[in-house]
This record gives sequence, C-alpha cells and structure tokens, in this order.
Amino acid sequence: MTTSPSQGAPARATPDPEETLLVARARAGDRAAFGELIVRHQDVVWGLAWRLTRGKRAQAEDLAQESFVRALQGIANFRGDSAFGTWMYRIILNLHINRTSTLAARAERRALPIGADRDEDAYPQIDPPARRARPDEEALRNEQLALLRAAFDDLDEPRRVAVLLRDVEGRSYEEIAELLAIPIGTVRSRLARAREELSRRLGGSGFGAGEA
Amino acid sequence: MACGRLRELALLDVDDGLAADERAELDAHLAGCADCRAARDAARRVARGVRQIPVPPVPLGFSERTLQRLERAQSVGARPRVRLARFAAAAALLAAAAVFWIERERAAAPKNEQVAERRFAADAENKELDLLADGDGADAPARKQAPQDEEKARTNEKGEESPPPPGSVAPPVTDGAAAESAADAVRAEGGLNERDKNLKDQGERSDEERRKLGESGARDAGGAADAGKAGVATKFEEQKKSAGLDAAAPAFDELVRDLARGTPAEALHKIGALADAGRDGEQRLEKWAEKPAAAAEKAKAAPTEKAAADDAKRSPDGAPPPLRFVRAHATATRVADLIGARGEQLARDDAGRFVVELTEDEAKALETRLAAAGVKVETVVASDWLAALRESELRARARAVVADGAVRKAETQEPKGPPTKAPGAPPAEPTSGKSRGAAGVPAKEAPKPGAPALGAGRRQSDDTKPPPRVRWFLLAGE
Repeated sequence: MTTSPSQGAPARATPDPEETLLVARARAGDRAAFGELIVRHQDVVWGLAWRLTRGKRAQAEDLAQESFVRALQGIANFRGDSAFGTWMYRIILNLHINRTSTLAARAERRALPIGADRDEDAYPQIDPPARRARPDEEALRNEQLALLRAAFDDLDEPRRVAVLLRDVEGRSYEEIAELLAIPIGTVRSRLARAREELSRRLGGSGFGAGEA
Repeated sequence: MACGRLRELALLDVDDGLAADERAELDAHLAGCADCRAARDAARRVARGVRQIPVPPVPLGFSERTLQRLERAQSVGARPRVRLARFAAAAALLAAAAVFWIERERAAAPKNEQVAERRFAADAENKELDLLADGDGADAPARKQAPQDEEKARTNEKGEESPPPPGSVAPPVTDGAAAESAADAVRAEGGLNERDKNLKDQGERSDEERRKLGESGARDAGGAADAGKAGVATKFEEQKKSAGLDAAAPAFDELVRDLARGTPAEALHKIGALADAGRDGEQRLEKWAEKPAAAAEKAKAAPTEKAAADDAKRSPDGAPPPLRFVRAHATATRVADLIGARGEQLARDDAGRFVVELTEDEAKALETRLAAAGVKVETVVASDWLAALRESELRARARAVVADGAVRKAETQEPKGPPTKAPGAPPAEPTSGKSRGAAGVPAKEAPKPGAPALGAGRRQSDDTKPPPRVRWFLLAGE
C-alpha cells in the first residue's frame, strides 16, 4: 500500500573507493588497513556505543572495543554487500542486543531511579546553541535536554534503539529493519510508540516549545 | 482516540518519514484534528531533541586500548590453535610410537615364529626319542642325562663303538637268551646312538639356522625400524599439516631428524619422554610455536640500517616514512621544553604525543640529547597495529588540531631563512607523507646556539638526495 520513504534520513555515504580498497586489504590480512578502518569509524562506533549503553562510559568503551574485535574476527567473511559502516552498525547492535537481555535490562532500570546508573561525569556539557542564548534560556534548554535524555534512556530497549537509529543516526526504515532483523512495520510502530511516550513524559516541561 | 492509524502516521511524520500517499492522507486528517497535529509537532520536537543529546568525544587512549584488546583477542584466538597443535602433536607422537611398534613387531614376528616352530619340532622329536628309549626299557634314564648324550653323539660321529661310559652298568651276561637280549640291547643302543647323532646334527642345524635366522631377523627388524622411522616422519608431516604447524616446521623437522638418527630405543625413549612428560612436551611445543613469532618480533625490531633501507625503498612512492616509537620518562612539559627549545620540527597532537620527523642521525642526536638531560629514553616496540593506528590517528588528529589552530609550535628563533607563516595563520594542510611534518607542521626552526643543528644534515642534502627520514613518536610520561 505504501512505499517506505528512504528520504528524510541523512544521506548515507556512498561507497567510498578508498574505503573499499581498505576493506579489501583488511580482508587480505593487512593490519594497517584495518587500523585505518578503525580510525575512520571509531567516532561513529563510539557514539553509538555510548548512546546504546545510556552514557555509561566503561560499558560504552567495552562495547565499542568488542565491536572492533568482532569486526576483525569476521572481516574475512565480510562480502561487501553493504558499506563497512553499516556492517559495523550491525555488529555493535547485535552485540548490544545479545548483551542486554530484555528482562535483565528492565529489572536493572526498575531497581534504580532514573539516571542513577548513569556516569554523570561522562556526560558532556550541553553544547551552546549557535546563537548566544541568554543564561536563563540556556539553563532552561539544558534542563529540558536533561529531562529528554532521562526519558530517552528510560524507554524500552527496542523502542529506544529504533529512535536511536532513526532520529539520531538517521537510518532509513529499511536499514533499521535490516539491522534489527524485524519487519518495516514493526520499526514504524516502535518509532511511533517511542515518540508518543517521550512526548507524554515531556508534555509538562514545555519541551521544545516555540522551536517547532 | 478514534484516529487510530492516522495518529501513528502523525507520529511518523518526522524528517519526511512518510510516503507520498500517506502524507496526503495525513494532511487531510490533520486539517480537522488538532490532537493529531499536536502529536505530530511533539514528535518532531522530540526527534530533534534526541538528536541534540550530546555525545562526549572518543576518550583519550581509546584507540590504544582497542589495539591492546585486538592484540589480546588475536593471541587468545591463536591459543586454541596452539592447544590444537599441542594435542595434534601429542597424538602424532603416540600414533608414531604405535606405528613404530606395530611395524617392528610385524617385521620380527614371522622369523621368531619360524625359530619357535623349529625349536618346538626339535623338542618334540627329542621327546619322541625319549619315549622310544623308554619303550626299549634299557638304560633310558641314564641316557636322559645330557652329558652322556653328548658323549654318545661324539662317539657316533667318530664311527667308533663307544665303550660303556664310566660308571654305567653293562648288562650282565648270564645265559644265551640273556646274551641275545643283551646283544639286542646293545644294538638298540647303537640305533639310539644313531638317532641321537641325527638329532644332534639336526639340533646343530637348528642352532645354525636359528643363528642365521636371528641375523636375518635382526636385519629385517632393522628394516622395520627404518620403516617405522619413515612412518614417524610421514605421520609428523601429516599431523603438522593438519594442525597448521607448518610454521613450526623447523622444530618438528628437528625432532623427526632426532628420531630418525637415533636407534629405535632412543627414538622410543624420546617419544615416551614427550608423551609421559606432557608438561615438558607442551612447553617444547609452545616454544616451537613461538619460534616463528619470536623471529617475526626480532625482524620487527629492525636495525636502523634496515629501517633506513626500508625508508629509501618506500619513499619514492610517497609512502609514509618508517615510524619509531620512543618513550621518554619525563613529563610532557619537560620533554617539550627539551625538544622545543632546541628548535626541532615539532608538533604535538591533542593526545599529548610529540611527533617529530627526523633523519636517522637527527633521531640519534635527539635521543642522545634527551639522555644527556637526564631523561631516560627507551625505544618502544610497536606492533604493526600500533604503528598503523597511531599513524592514522595522529594524522587525523593532527588535521583536526591544525584546523583548530591549536598546533603547538616550537618557538621560532630563526633569524632568516625560508619565509615562515605569519603567527596565527593555519599551517598548510598536510599533503603526502614525505614532504610534510608528521603533524602537518612544515616549519623549520633554527637550533639554539650551542645546540646541535639537527636539521642541518637534511638541509645540506636537500640539493642531492634527501636522507631517509623516520617519524619519531615521542611518548612522554614518567
């Protein structure tokens, strides 16, 4: 009935010839090439790991490092059907999903107050907006973002991952469905429910009022 | 809420998340539904807000820790292979021992059986003769005595009738019948002696055959042992290949040679020692497996000449010069003072590492200078991983640092010479490997008076052929 839009998400990088060459070299056992791939993707991998682990620095680093280890172990089987970055996404997501069994994650979240397990020191200061905001505006914005962050971290894992991949990482529905091995309809449903829940939780805070 | 599916569409109407037909349907609905409009707006704000949640930068040292983990993972990944190799080698030893024994026994068994059969036949004949002698009822018990038999045999050989042996009792002749009987007995004894002679001959032949057979058997057994050794070698080769131990081939070959060189007993002793002393065997095998790795490490810690040769080889292609990792046991500030004050071509990445591109001579001079200042300097053995990643990372970070205008330059005291960039002007973007500083800082700086002119050699040789340069990564830390 409908065609899923692939637009809207930030444009995915087209296959980079240099990266293709690096991947080929890495597949042939060239360590230097794999090292170069690590450097190229460590920012993205780190960011995703940090978000997936709800800002727990140690866990994020462990997840990111382990993802590279898995990538190295599986590079020989990487066929190049997708971009290396997408492949890394799949690795890190699978690793994360395997690690966090849903029940354990829920139990953990319910046993602790929101954000109690978060490594606050690891959270950077909110970036100031381009326009120099008044101190009260900036404080309000930071407060709202902190609320949003807490609400986002408290989402159910499947919904949180869906929002993360779509709204933060800019993946298309098709990519998310492929990465999570779920139907596109499920992706859309999770997204809608997650956004609804976040809106409800932030409803009284006037979040983003005036920006829309 | 009666909107149902349209509410979901409203929540998905973020970043063009709807298909054209869905959008048209939603727009028609939103025109008359304020709730869904509010939901859509809230969803858009939320999506935008989530995107703004900041992420801290990659932590310092992340790549190094990742490298260490990769190295660890690789070594752990290699361990099962080593274990498998150990297991395979132990199995090979046992299999070889089994093959060796079986081959030897198989080779020796037929000859032994023949000898045993002949012995058995001879014994049986002896017994038969004894029985015959018993049946004659004469002096059989006495004949059973071996010395007497031998004596009789000796006598028969000479063809003489032997007198009764001393101490033997001749049958008394009493009457004619008795004399006849005695004569029969003597004849019978003569027949027995003949038989004994034959038996003796046969016995000697048996001994001779036995001896010959023994020699032949020994020869055959030796052949079997050789075959066993060949089997050992073959088995080792097969097991080596199946266990992926080709890398440890020299060590295995050594063992195989040992086995082949030694006697079967020695070979078995070695095999047994290895099989019994599993721990020692494992250690030996581990050493064998480590040998190639050790050789590779040795090769990695290449001498200066080799590094220079490699550099000369790679430089024409514009490939990065070889890397040298040096750890200075001093604070970064002190090292910066020591190096920067002397006008090195210096940059520091945002991880606090110094990157210096120097000729071999300059590198040596710098090392000497640091040592003279009481700063202990040691060369860090860097793996391929480390080298590759550090270089890539440093290049990337240096670019970022350059872009931020935050490159730390050494104080320039060069009164004249090539024009330098105006203070504050961003350095040129690094181009290819050899024509730039490692961190994209091309400025050359004059040494302080009294300090060795570290860059002099390079400048002098610019007209002809530039000397090979290495990138010196100076890792400062107490």
